Amino acid sequence: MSMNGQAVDATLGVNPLREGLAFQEAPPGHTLIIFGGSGDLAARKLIPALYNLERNALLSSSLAVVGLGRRPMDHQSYRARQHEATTRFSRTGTPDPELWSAFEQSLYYVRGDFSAHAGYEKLKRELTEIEARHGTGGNRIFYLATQPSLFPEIIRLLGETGLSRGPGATRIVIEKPFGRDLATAQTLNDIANNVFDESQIYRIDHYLGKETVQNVLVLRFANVIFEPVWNRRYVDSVQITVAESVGLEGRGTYYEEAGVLRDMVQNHIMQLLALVAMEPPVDFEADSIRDEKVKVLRALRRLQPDHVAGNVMRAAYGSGFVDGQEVPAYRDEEGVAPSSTTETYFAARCFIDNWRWKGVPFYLRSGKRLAKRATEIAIQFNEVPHLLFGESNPEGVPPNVLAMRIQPDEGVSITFEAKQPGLAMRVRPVRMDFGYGQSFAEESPDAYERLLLDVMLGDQTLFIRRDETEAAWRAVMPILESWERDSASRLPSYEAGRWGPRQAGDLLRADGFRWRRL
Amino acid sequence: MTLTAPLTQALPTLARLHDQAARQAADEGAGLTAQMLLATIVARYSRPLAWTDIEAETRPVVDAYPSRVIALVNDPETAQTPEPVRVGLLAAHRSDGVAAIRGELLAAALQGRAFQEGATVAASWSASGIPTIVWWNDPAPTGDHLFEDMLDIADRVLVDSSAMTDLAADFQVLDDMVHGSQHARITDALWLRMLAWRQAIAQVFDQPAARADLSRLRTVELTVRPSPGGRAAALLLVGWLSSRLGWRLARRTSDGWRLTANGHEVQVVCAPQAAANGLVETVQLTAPTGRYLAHMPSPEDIVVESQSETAPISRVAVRRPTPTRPRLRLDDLLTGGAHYSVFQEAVALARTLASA
Repeated sequence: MSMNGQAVDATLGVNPLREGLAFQEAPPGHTLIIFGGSGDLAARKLIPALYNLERNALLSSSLAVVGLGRRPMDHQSYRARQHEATTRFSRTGTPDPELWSAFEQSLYYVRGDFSAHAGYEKLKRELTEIEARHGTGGNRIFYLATQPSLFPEIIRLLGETGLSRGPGATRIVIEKPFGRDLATAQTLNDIANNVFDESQIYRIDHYLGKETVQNVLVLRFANVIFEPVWNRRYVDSVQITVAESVGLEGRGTYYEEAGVLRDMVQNHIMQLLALVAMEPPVDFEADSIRDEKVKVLRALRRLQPDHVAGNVMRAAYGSGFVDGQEVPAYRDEEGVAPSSTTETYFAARCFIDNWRWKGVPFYLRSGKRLAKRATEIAIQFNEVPHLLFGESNPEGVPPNVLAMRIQPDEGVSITFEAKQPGLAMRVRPVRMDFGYGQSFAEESPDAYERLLLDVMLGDQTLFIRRDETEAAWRAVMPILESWERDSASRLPSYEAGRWGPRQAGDLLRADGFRWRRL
Repeated sequence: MTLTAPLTQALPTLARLHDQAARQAADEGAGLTAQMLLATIVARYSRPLAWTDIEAETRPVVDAYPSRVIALVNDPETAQTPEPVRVGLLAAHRSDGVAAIRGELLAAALQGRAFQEGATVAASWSASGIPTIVWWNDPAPTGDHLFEDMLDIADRVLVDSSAMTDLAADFQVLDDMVHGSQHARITDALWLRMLAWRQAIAQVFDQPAARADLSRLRTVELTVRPSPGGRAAALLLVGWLSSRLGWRLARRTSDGWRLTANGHEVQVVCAPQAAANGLVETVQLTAPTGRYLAHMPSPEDIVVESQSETAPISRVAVRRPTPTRPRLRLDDLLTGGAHYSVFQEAVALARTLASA
């Protein structure tokens, strides 16, 4: 807003000093209260992310972090433990001693039983003291990093003890999974909405915090060359792959209950699909973007029960070698039943029934113990309508492919045809590549850094709204129901270290496609 | 690894250097990647400077922003040497252990007319398709032939108003440049360094209750380092506040200025402070209903404390870049153009105040 020589009016709704400074907005003071503060997520992700934000001078100096847990520990032990974890897991390595020494003064640990009122009353007393010491302005963020089964009880008790109505802004962050199916997701959402307004709820899917995922929006909507061909007239098919080479990493009990559909597909893959297929939002406001994503999820064709088998493939990994190391079969992993029917591999063909995408197959796959860790979205365009150079290229020319590499080796590549040097008019595919590592010297922040900062700033753009998560569940429910009916069947298996079961290729072969080699 | 070359062979020599580096890495079985260059930076040195000094100045810049740096060094002692250009690659190890070439440095020792025509060298050596940034490290380039030529080849010109000596004359030059340049945008390094002050002051008024005090401000008191740089920083801050809040100069006073705003006057006082942490030590804004004091408890922190009848939050803090961060954030410099009008208006007001 240019003032154009007019004196500022006190009734103006915007801060006139903010113009040109919006991107440097710093969060106000907060107390971040982590349920599961002594757990794995806090140690591996949350505290290292907070330290890196502090390192980059992006946090308010009025920040306090309170870890909650059952283990006996004092503040000093908690700080030492988090220092060790940050040294091990932070993307920036060993913390700077001086910086850490100042940062750790904001870390506190409160021990208690948070399944009963008493724990919350104790927390209330501690918060009063900590908030006064750090001048947080009474702003609170409750972060649920416990087992998902505890979420409903914690939310209910936050409401009953009045902690949900703090002296300042109060927000709650809920980690995935948001329920086990549509019904439990709706129940969890009902409980959360009884205590908190939707504007206070931040459902976190860390994939949305990845720079390269956000770059999908930039690529599509900050360039003029892609959007005109981003539709059924020019796109032949879309492949989304979220592949992991790791196994269960000690999470056998959790995974046995979840499987890849709940662990990766309902959330990460659905979010990638929505970002790729959504219409341009009217602006970059949180709800404008989420409105468009929900439309995509609602337009996903629901599979009829008798169509599931022909469009969806599941399997579990057998033993094999990954990166030259022998690894056990899924059913031999700790915490997994020998007769388990939990899937570690998922592949599907789906369709989005709207004007833009009608008839374009979207092939989705995700799995554990695959040949390598790779997440990619690939848009395959139509073949040219008439090949001029057929005589020298009797096999035709491959179609153009735009590949967005989410991780690792983050970047974007376009494959197109070029004339091979020589007297003959031979055509050969070449690749034009943009790599984040080559173009930007600065390392990307960890997804949790971005997301934690956004919670403090009150920006819900990269968080999942209630209707989004329920729409994603609705889309996968026919598959879950079909599998439950068929739970007695033994799953096909695939050799660990390969690209999944051979039958997964059949999903594409009938349409004349094949899975991309990554 | 560096090579010397005649002026006309600088780019082929640079290509040779890349080949040598790639071969050497292959021989040693090590990885090597060349970062995609994002800008050409032309730095002008009016006095002779050793290669090591130029490299030391350049390295933090290319670490943050892979660039081709062209250093034009005025060296009257240079004889007619056949190879006045020194070419080097600036590499660093990335976190994955692979060596990455982050910058290319071409330093040309020129004298007399050749130095004055240095823009032709820069134009010829600039990488195509990426922005060219001219880093002008002298205060007032009025009428300078090289500067005028540089404006033609540059997308952005970086100046530093903290190096000003005659504030009235130099702000006039700066204002003419930021409003008059047809092609190149001007960025003031001091304006970038003052970002944290603007950020901190703006942030305290994000609260709607405090915002009402903006139209009731009666005094602005600054303590600044007793130097032209300190006064230039004060002028930019007051120029920014005035342009955002619609204040206009009424008259100069013995210790500052009187401005008019919404039918009342705002008194601006600028006092020297020898023990300043930076160029600016404190900024205090006072309204009948509230007082807002921004100060620097350490070189890295700016804190604003408020005592207001209406606003509940009493303290906000903004961190300045730490010493580990590059001195020059070229991404700030390049993206700063999105809000060029804020800078233009602040400079125009600063010029008016400096000339009063």
